[in-house]
Amino acid sequence: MSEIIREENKITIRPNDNIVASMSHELREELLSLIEGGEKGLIVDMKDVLMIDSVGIGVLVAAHNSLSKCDGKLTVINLTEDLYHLFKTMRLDQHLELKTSDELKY
Amino acid sequence: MSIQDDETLQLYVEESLEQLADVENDLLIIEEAGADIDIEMVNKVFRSAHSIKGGGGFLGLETIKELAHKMENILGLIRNHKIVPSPEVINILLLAFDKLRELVNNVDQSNGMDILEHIVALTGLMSVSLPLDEKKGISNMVDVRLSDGGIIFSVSEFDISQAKKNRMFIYVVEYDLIHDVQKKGKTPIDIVREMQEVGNIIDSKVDINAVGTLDSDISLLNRLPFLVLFSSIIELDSIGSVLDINEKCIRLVTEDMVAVSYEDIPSTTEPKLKETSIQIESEIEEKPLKLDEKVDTPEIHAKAEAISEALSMEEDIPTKKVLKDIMTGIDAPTIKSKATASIRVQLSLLDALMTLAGELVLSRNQLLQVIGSYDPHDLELIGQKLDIVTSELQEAIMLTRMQPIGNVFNKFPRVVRDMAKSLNKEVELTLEGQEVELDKTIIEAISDPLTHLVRNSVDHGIEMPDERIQAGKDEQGRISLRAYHEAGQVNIEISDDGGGLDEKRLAAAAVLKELITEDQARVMSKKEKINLIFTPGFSTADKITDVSGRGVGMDVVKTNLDKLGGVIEIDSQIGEGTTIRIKLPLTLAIIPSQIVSLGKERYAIPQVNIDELMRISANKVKNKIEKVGDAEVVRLREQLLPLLNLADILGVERTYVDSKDGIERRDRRTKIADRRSKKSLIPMSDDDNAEEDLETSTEESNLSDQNERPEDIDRRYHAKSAVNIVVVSTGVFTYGLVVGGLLDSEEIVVKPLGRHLRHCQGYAGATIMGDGHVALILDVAGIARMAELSSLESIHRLAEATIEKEIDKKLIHEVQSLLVFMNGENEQFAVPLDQVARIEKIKAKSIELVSGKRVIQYREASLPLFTIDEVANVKPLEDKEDLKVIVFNITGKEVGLLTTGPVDAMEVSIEIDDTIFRQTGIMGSAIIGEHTTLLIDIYEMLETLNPGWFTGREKTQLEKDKVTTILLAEDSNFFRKKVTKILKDEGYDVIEAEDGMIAWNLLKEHADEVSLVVTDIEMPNMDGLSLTLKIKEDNRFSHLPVITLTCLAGEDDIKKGEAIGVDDYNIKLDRESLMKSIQTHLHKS
Repeated sequence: MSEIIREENKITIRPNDNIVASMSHELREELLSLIEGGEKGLIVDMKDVLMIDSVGIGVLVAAHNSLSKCDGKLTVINLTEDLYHLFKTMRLDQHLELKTSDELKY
Repeated sequence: MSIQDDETLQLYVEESLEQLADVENDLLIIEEAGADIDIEMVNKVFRSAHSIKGGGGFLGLETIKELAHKMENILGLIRNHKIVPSPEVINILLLAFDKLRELVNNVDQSNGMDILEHIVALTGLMSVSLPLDEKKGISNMVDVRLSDGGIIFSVSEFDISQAKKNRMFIYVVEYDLIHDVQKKGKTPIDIVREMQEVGNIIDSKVDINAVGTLDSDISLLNRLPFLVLFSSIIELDSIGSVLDINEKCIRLVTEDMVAVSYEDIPSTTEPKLKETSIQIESEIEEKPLKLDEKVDTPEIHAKAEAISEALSMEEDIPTKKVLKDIMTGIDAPTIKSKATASIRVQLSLLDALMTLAGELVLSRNQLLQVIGSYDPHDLELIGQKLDIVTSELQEAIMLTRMQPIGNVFNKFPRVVRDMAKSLNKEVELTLEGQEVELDKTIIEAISDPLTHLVRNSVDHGIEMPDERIQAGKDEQGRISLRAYHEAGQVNIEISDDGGGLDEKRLAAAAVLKELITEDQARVMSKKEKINLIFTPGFSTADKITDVSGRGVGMDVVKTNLDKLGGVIEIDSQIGEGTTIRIKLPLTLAIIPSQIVSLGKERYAIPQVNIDELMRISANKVKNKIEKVGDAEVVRLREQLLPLLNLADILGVERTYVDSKDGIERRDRRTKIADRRSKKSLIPMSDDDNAEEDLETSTEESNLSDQNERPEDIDRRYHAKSAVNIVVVSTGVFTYGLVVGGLLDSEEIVVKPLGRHLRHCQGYAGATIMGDGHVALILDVAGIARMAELSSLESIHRLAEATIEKEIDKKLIHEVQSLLVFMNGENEQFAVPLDQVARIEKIKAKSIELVSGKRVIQYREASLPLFTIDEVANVKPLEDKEDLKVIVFNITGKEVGLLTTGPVDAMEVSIEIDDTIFRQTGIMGSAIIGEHTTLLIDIYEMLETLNPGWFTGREKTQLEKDKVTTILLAEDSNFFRKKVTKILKDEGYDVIEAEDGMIAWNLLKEHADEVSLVVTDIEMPNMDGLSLTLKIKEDNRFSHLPVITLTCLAGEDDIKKGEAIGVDDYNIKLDRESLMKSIQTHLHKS
């Protein structure tokens, strides 16, 4: 189950586990419901996510695609260094806005 | 990724350090070449950075990888002529490599270390330091299009060309993250890592269109294409299996698939590319990738921009300032360098070791067999074999420890460069003999002292460029480091062509610091004064550095070298430079030594310290060993050598072996307690009364020994009573060590002294002799310290000074070799010995009278004879049966002077009076052996007798149109007149000078006339050699032949003269050879 934090015109979803195939369906549903609820600035907080598999990436990309359609934006924050590098290598940063867990780290 | 097993990591660290070792020098070479880039060199550095990066990535050393990656980028740009390797650029790279080394050295903590500043500096270089049009190079985009046209990558041309240059293949790999990854139980991270291990990911993209949106049916999410533009050295046929992917998904990118794209190049350095379009095509068109994609935090970016701005500005000042700011933060990296515990060995050497080990096993087996049989012959054979195998084994193992000194030398170009830069000097460093090998321990230990010396050379040796120009030198200073083998040792020379050491200032500074007294300073030699910089305490005051130019911590350098068994020597000429020579043993473990004995004990003295061995036979002791003050010295060639008695220094009882019964007895004449008494330190040397008196008056205990006296007489002349002296050198000074006996020269294995013996400064270590006994190794410098030899040294100097004075005095009086003989009764004559051909004994009656001239039959020819009274007004020849004929050879003719005996040759210093008895044929008089002696001028005499003999030659001279002028410098009034007359007689014009200084001034006045210079050597104000030097160094006069006249022409003098440029040597007043020499040289010029 993901924690959903609502702030002023900002909504953060924080999955409580690694984003892998087994939980991707659940996350997908959550994201979908948020987007369908009209949210445009969606933030995925990866604080508790240490690992992400192909399906997980697929979910994030799909979320991005959905948001793009309605001029929304997906931001992924608090990435671990490993995941940050992975996203960079896959050039996902060209689509998603990325932030590491430590802003100052590169 | 966690750090891999230790072994792999250790291997990586070693390899990386090896790579890094060369990088520094290569970078300096690149810097020197400037814009004219040596691609090979850049490639070399590039490869180093690359392999460090690769390994770092593999081992999860992210920080190392990151830094190496940035450096690789810069190097790539240099290689492609995109960045000119200016000193600023190289500086940043050097500092980054320093940091990299630090990271590698602390590999465990490396991931947590801060490399921010370097990244900033490097990024700054990369993005903006280029001229605008060249900058396109990095961001010049090319499209990669597959033949089916569909998929396009747009990447920087730089990345593609870099991959090509590295002979890499470029592939487009298409993964389906679901099928190829997820279904195989992998995660995307796994595959990215896999790929990075075998190549580089140039670019990649996820085909996000294929994913669809969240609201699509879940079943749609069965495809997640991930396209990677990948470069690798792996070939097409195996890449599929390496990446574990169907070969169909891999396509090789060929030339025709790459095309230049024409999109606008964005000029901003904005790090983030925010995607607004989901269309891949449009994305590619709009957003070329940035190379420095990892620089993305605002702080770094701000800094990078600052640097690049600074770099692109024309003005130097801000650039330097910014660079300095960056550098100050990272200067002096605190590298906790681990002494490498492992060593690289040539495989062939290991093979040789294996073979030898095999031999050893064989020998052991044989030995075990033979032990049973007790066959002495076989035992001996095996003993020999074991001996050979062991020595070879030892040698081979020693070799494994040998390392080229280049390992140490290589860091100096950087040291010199950095220092010269900060001091605004120009220094060129040349290295020679890097391949010379030394024991690893020595290599490691020599590094610091050498660095110190090199730094000194740059800092204090080489002058500022303007000073150098003023001194007429090349603006660029030169320092050379040279290593070479000599006599089983390794010599390392550090020489500079700088200002040199001013020994007077050094001495003055030492006096000021009260390290020596003024008296001591006065009698010190130049070398001793220079060696003052090794004195502890000399270095600490910073003022002295300003005064003397050198000396910071030189005592530490010396101490360190002493520990290594090294010897250091300084050779310095003011204004010309300094050469520091270090002699080092090849290894510390085994050293060749001289074994000496003292009583029953044996001691080893390292050969390094030994100059020579001296043995003074007992009956010569009294002549050879002298006493100056309370110190004993021995005269060795022209030098006085201070002596130390080993027994006294070590506090061992002196003994001697009685030559009669072979029993060892206590040497009765001296005791340990009175080793500083005024008595002779030398055993067996005193039997004369004076010594004995002194002895009995200072000690009372010896009376009981009187009964041994009769034996002494024998003992003195017995071979065993000879005094054995080992002449040892500490590098700073030399002294003689009196030992009991000289034994073999042996290679000894050095064992350190136990802790309880550490405080004994006379010993350097111990060794075990062949017979199992322990021998202590003597530390000659320590022994000198124990004996406070420095004071002894001064005494020795004093003594030499007095002797020199005596010699000087003699020289004023002109030492002459004369043949002294009698003519009339009580009338003594002398003639210079050099002019004499030989002496014949004849009977008066064998003289014949032919046409009024006396002749004698001699070897079937007649020898004309004459007497002095024929020419000069002296008593007639005594009427005697037996006469002596002194035969002269003048102008090729022999002539004999009749004299009466006895004839005696002697070397005397005389004062010649050329007034009282002056007359034809007599050049003057002197007192020789309490007799007034008349000195014969044989030429004048013969000229009077046979004027015809000399006329021929005079004519040749007179025929010339112009009279040749000779400058004559001679301080002795007598000789000057004499030579002038000779020269004038020969038809030359002579300009006379009383000393070198006057001669020099006269020469300048008469520059046009003088065509030859004849000079005495020993003269006041300026001696003949200095005069010669002045002449030869002056363009106006260097062509003039210089002939020296001297009474003493030793080999050394002649050599010295030759070096200066003296054209010929002549013994004083050998008229014949002087004329010949003048004519030869006039003819030549």
